[in-house]
Amino acid sequence: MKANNEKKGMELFINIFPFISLIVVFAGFALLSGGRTLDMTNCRKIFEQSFTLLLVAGAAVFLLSQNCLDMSVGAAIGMTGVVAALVSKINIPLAFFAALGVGLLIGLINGVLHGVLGINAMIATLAMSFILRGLLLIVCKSGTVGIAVKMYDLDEVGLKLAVCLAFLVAAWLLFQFHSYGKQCRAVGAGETAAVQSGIRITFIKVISYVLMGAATGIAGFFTVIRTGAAMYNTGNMVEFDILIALILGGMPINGGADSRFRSAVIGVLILGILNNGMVLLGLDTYPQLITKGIIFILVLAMTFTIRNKINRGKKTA
Amino acid sequence: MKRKSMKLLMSLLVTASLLVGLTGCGSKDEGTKAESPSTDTQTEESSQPAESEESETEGEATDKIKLGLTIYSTTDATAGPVVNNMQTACDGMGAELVIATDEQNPEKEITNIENLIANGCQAVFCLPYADDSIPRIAKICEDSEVYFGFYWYDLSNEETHDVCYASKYFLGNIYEDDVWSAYTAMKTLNEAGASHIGMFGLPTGRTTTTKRDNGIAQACEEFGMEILVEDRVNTNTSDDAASSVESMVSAYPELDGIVIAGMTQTCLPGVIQSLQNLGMTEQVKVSCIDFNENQTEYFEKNSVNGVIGGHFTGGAWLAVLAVNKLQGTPLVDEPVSIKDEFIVLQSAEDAKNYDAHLYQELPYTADEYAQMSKKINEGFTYEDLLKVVGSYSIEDVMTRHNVE
Repeated sequence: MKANNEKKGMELFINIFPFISLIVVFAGFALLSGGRTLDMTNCRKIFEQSFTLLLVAGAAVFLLSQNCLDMSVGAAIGMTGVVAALVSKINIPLAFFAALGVGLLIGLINGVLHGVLGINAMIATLAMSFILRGLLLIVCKSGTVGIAVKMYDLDEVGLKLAVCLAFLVAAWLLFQFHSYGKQCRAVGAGETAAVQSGIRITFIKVISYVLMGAATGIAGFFTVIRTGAAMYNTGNMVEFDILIALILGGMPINGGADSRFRSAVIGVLILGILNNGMVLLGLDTYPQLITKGIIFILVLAMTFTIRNKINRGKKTA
Repeated sequence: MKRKSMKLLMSLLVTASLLVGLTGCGSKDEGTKAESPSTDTQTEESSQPAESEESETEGEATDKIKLGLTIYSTTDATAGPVVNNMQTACDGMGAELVIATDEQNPEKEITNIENLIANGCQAVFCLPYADDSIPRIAKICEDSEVYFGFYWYDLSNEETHDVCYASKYFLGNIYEDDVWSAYTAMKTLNEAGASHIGMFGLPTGRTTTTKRDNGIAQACEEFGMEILVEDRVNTNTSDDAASSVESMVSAYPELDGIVIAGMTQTCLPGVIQSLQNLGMTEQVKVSCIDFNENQTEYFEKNSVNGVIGGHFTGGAWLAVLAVNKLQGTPLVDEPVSIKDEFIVLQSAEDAKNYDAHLYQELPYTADEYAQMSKKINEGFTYEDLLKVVGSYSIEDVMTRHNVE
């Protein structure tokens, strides 16, 4: 009885921990900065800086819940951004669809490599990332590709908010309530059991990578609108930001039944507030990196330990 | 029951976050305006410069003019002196400098600028990653009513030039004669007997790159030199540069010179190490644009034939323009383009003098910078600033600082 209560307590803690982290980070920086983080303009900046990460982290939930990684997200954002920049000089709506199309294609190839051919997800997507970075160097001629001037008009926070909300709500509904989302979590909990339950794993995996590709397409398009140019290293290291955000948001690193879509939103918000708050406090870049690293390790170590205890309890029971 | 309350909590938090964001869009400019006081207000409230220690301690924390700098590093031999000179200028004139680093690409630079503005900076300075980023930078600064300027950047692209000069918040740009610097680097190689050259270059898409490429082309034509191979990719680490040199040498046995037209900090150690390992230090001559930490040693070992750089005061000149503007005593009413001077090192002695008097000791002291603030020195004019900038050299510094 006591062990059961203890397990329930740990489960409750692991569930509410991301919310507590978000509140602590939000309130902490608000206090330390004398309320400057609460300034409306600053909140808008946090959203704008987190926008692309919100999209790709939202899509990454489907992959990570299956214990799959996509190491090509950053390079895919770079590639879709460059395509959008190039096509924008012909037609701006076409630039969006071109970026989306390229993103979908990259996602499809990743999905086929891992889902159909069975190549380890990390290796397959890492290889894809090298290919994309190489192509970017060729296309950008080691430099930058600018966007059409009219494209700057799309840099509106209202538009971004609408896109972000639509994408996140759709993805949340899909993950939480549709059979596809449940199947993703089932695959993460155990592939063999999922197969025996009649889940078409190949299909689930390919679709998840395609969804990720769509997110990178949209993210690439909005990235170049924000910066005015794409470069061969545009989107650099985004895949690691996604991982950090999801872990901070409470996503189990091995995926499975405990995966929650909210991890993406909460994690990206924590990361955004953390980055912004440290700048507002005047912290130099190097202490910022060290601080982020320490927080990441602490959160990871704590959630790992607690999850292991919970899982051990389940096995014993 | 527990699950329900969990969901409720989650929904509340997410809704609250989104509402904060939404409200943020509603008041697009108000917040910024409140954050960034107008020039007139600052004229009233800005602190007295560092000359008077008393005034510094009495309330500078809230009233100091705050300038922001985004730069790729604060420590290496190229970016470090820019930061140090700008910091000294700010100290001298009683301003505060906030620095954002970790630039990797245009989006990181834009984020840095936004964060500096959110931090309350009243003027921000950067080296734009690309001409195409400039309209975005200008818009961010205009929306926030924050002054901006560029160091190490030639605004010769007509479109971006017009965008900047149309903005009332544009202070100006500090640029170098990049055609001349690349030409001089090539000339140094030619004088050392090299004519078949391998080149490490900056990424394309920047005016600086185009100008340096033009300088190299000009030297090739004039001295009958030839660029056999160029690398703009393997420039981010010494290892990459070293591997690239090995490939260059094996593909082009006639290669007898290497010019590094940018990214010297990372490229040069790799190039020199690689040539040393290949036993080709004597055969392949090296010259570069931008200084590095070990240049004295490289000159002593004859590993390098010429280094062009020392253009580290651009940030400080922007600070002088900004502080005077924000104090309400502008040196000039229109945006300006100021040409910064390069220093050419051709011997170990040159390198030692540079290191002692312009690197370990800075070329201008805080007191000298203080004299460039019209609040302290009413008679200081824009023409005086141009004279100071134009006379920048090792000899000038040694004379001003009474070095024998």
